[in-house]
Amino acid sequence: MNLLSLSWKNLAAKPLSTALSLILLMLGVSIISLLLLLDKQLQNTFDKNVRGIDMVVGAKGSPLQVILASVYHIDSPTGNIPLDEAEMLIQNPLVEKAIPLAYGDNFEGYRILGTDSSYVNHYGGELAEGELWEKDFEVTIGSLIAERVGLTVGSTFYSSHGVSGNMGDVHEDNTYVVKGIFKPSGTVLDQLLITNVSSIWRAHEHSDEDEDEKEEADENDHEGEDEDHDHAEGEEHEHDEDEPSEEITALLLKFRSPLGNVTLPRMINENTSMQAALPAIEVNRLIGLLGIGIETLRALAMAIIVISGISVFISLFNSLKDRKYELALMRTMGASRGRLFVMIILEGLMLAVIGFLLGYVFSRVGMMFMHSFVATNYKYEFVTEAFLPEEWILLGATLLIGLLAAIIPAFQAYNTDISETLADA
Amino acid sequence: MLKTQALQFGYTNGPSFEFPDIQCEKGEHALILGKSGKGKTTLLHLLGGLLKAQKGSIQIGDTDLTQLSTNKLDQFRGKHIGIIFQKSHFVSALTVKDNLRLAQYLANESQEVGSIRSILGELDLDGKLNKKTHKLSIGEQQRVAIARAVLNQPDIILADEPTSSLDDENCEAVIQLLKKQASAVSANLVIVTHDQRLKDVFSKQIIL
Repeated sequence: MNLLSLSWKNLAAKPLSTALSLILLMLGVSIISLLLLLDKQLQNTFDKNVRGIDMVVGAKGSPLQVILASVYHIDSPTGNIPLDEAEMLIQNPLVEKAIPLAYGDNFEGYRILGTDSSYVNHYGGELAEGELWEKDFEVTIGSLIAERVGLTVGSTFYSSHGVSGNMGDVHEDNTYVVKGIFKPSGTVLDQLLITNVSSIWRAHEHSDEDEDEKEEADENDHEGEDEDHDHAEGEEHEHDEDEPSEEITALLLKFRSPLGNVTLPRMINENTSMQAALPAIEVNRLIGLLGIGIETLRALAMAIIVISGISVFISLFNSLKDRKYELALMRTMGASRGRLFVMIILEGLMLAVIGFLLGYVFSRVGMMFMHSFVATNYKYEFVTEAFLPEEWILLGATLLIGLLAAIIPAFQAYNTDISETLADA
Repeated sequence: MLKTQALQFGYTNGPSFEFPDIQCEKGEHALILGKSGKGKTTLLHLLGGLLKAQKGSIQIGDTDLTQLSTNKLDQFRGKHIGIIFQKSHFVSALTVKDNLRLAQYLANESQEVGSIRSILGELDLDGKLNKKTHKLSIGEQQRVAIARAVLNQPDIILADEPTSSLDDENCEAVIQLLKKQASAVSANLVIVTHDQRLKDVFSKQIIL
C-alpha cells in the first residue's frame, strides 16, 4: 500500500466518472495528436517533393492542379504541352535545369512517368536492384510498387490508359520490362514507374491508331478525363507531320536566379499555350485552404481537453464530498495533511497520464486507418512517427490540466478539519 | 501511561469545557462517563490529538501531545493511538486487508500481511480478508475497526460509545474483546460513553 496504489484504487472504485474523464481526455489528446501527425505528414510530403522546383509548366488550366498532378502525382494533368514550345523554354538563359514529364498511363493505379535521368537525380534516387531504363518500354520502379504489386527485376506488364485506377483500356501492344528498383526515398519516386518519354509517345501512338474508330464512343466513358482530348489533338499533329506525337505533359524547372520567378511566369502565361505554376504559391494556397479545417478541429480538440479537465475536477470534487469522512479517518490513522494533498493530486495526474496514453494509442490506430485509406486511394504512403516533439508539449499540457483540476480538491483535503468532520458523521 | 492536567477547550461561538484530570498507569483502563453535552466527544478528540487543547497538557508515555507540531502529531497518532469510533468507517475503495495495510502504511510501519491475518483470525474474521468493508455486517465492521485500532500496537486505545447501539449480550462481548486486545498489547483502554451498563465493568471511572 502506498499513495500511488491508494489513488489508483480510489479511481477504480468509481469506474463511471473515471471512465468519463478518461474518454474526454482521450478524445482531446487523440484529435490533437492526429492533427499533429497529419500536419507533419503534409509538410513532409509537400516539402520533400517540391524541393528544388521553382516552377512547373503544364497545359492551361488550374495552376494548383498542375502542381498536384506534376509534382505530387495526385490529380489528373490539365493536358499536354507541345514539345517545341517546351524546348524553347528550356533554352531560356534563366533556366538552370528542366525536367520533362510525360504521362497518361498507369499500372495497377501507379503512374508510369516518362522522363529522363535528371528526374531521378533530382529526388536523389538510388538503385536497390538492377539498373535504370535505357531503351523504350524499360522501366525502373519505386520501392513501394515493388512491395505492393510484387514486381521484380525482369517482370513484364502491360500499361493501362489513364493516370489512376482501372478506368482505361489496357495497351496490349507494348510490354514494359522492369529493369531496376529504387531504394525507398520518402518522395514520389517511391510510387512511380519511370521510363523514357518516347515509351509514352509510342504507347499512345499505337493505341491512338487502334482507337481511331472507337474514340468517339469512348469519349463518354472517359468523361472528365482531360487526356482524351489531348490524345485527339496529338493524333492530328501526328498525322500532319507523320511523326510520333511530340508532346509532353509538364516541365519541372529550376531557375538560375530569382529573376526567373519574376519574368518567366508572366512571359509563359501571356505568350504561349502553356501555363506556369509556382509551387511555393500553390502549396501555400492549398495549405491555407486546408488550414481553416485544421484550425477548427484544433480548437475543438482544445475545447474537449478543457472540458475533460472540468470533468476531472467535478469528479474529484464530488468524490471528495463523499470521502470527507475517509480523509478525516486517514488523518486519525496518522496521515499528514501533505499526504492527503499528494493523494488527491496523484488522482488528477493519474487520470491525465492514462488519458494521454489512451489518446496516444488512439491517434496511432486512427493514423493506421487513415494510412490504409490514403494508400489505397492515392497510392501515398504515410510515415507515422513514434513520438513527435510536439507531443511532449501535449503531454505537459495534459498533465497541467490534471494538476489544475486536482488542486482545489487537494487543498480541500489538506484543510479537512478532522474533529469537526468526525463529530458530524 | 496517560496523564492529563487542567485541560480546557472552548468552541468558537459554542460551549467551553474544563475537564477533570485523568491519570492512568501503563495498561490501566478507564471509563469516562457523561451525559450528552458534557463534552465527551470533545475530550476523546483532545486525547486523540484531533483537537488542540487551549490550556493544559496531555501526556501519553513520555510525550506531551499539546507540544507537538501538526505533522509530528499526525505521526504520533498513527503509531501510538488507536481510535474506535461509534460508527465504523473505512476507506470504501479498499478491502478489509487493504484498510488494515493502510493503517500500517500511514503509521510508517512495515506492511506485513502476517500480523493482519493473525489479528483478523483472533477476531473471527478469517474469511473477510479480501471483502470490501461495506459488504460486512455491522458487527463485523466493528470488529475490523477494533483490529485496525490495535494493529500497530498503540500505547492507548480510545473508544467512542462502542456499545451504545448494541444489545446486552453483544455489549458484553465487545467490551471483553476490547479489554483483551488492549491488554494483549498492554495499552491503556479509555472508553467514552453514556452507557450505564459499563459502570460495573471498569473500576476506574471519571464522571464529566
